[in-house]
Amino acid sequence: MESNHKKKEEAVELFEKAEKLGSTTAAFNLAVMYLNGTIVDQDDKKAFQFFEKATKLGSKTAKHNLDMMRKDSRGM
Amino acid sequence: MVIKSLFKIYLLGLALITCQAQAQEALDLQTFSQSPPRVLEEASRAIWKLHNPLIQGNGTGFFIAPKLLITNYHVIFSLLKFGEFKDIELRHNTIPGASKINTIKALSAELDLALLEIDRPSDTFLSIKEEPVSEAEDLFLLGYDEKKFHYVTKIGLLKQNDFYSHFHVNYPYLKGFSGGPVLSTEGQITGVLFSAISNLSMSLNADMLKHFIDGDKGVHCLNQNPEQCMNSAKAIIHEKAKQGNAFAQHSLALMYTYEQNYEKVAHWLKLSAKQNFVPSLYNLAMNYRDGKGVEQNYEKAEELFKGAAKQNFAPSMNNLAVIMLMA
Repeated sequence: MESNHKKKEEAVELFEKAEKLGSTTAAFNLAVMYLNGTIVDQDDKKAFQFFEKATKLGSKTAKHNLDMMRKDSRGM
Repeated sequence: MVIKSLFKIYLLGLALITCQAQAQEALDLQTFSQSPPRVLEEASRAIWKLHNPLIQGNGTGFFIAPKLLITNYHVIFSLLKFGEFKDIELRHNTIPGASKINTIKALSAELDLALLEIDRPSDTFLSIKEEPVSEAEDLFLLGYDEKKFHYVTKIGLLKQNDFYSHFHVNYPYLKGFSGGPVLSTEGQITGVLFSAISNLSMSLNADMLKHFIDGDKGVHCLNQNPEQCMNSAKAIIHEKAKQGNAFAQHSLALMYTYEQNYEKVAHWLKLSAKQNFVPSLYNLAMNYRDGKGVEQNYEKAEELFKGAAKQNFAPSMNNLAVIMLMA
């Protein structure tokens, strides 16, 4: 159980590192994780920020999700 | 409306495990398919599509002198698989007519480069940037997919690898862009796109291109016909790969992917990955993950992704994270 928890933390760290290097995929994955509270604590604000970043990097799906969040006034 | 939107997002959340591929496919090329910014407008005249009307698929090439064009070795290799030299055509999105290849001047299977002499001179050609590419710099990719000319702007440089003289650009692999240039904001060549075994955009450093043009690298085919030149290049890459050159081993693996011989692909990737060559670590990891040419093995995939992630290779970090979450 302990090691499982550690692996999850490491995975999040890897996504964060890749995101900082400019990876669209990592930004998108982090956004979805924060949005749904999978692996990390649910956080609309962070989800919004990562979708915004992935949109800037050219992700169409992130843009769609960002629009949806705006429509629902979530995380702004 | 609210329910619909949440549902859509929920579905995406479920798709987390497989979403690297989906997120990449979702990138919107349309926004970049109008004419390029003014600084690159002139440069784009030097960038041509190479294709064989009889078969599917194409590559990109660019002029470095009025009649000299650079492309990938594997572009020529794959276009010749079902055709002859005379079938290969060069076309441009705004310049009418088709050009043909006169002859091959030089080849390097190892660096995945080809220098071709073209029958019709181009009025525009590109120069190589003297200074090495920096991580803060904005870069542009220009090339052709099956349908039209695209440019991709402001891609970042993820990782410079001095030893192997290549860098990874922060953009997924674009079909047909192989052999296209990576340009600086001044429209100078900073790299050549190559290598796409597992949807990667890798670029060769302009410095290596310079060595190739100057004759320090590759086979220079003075009095050989194109077929002889291709054979010489093939013989050399086999020799270099056997001698343990990691770049050559990776390029040879790429050639075997065109023959769909995945066991040979795995064989050469393994040897190259042993030397910590990032593209090979990543590609072999993908093959272990998907059971392509090797038996599916997540532990091995994890180990190999780790090796590439340690060298700051972002796509490897993403895939490693996903594998760790699956455990």
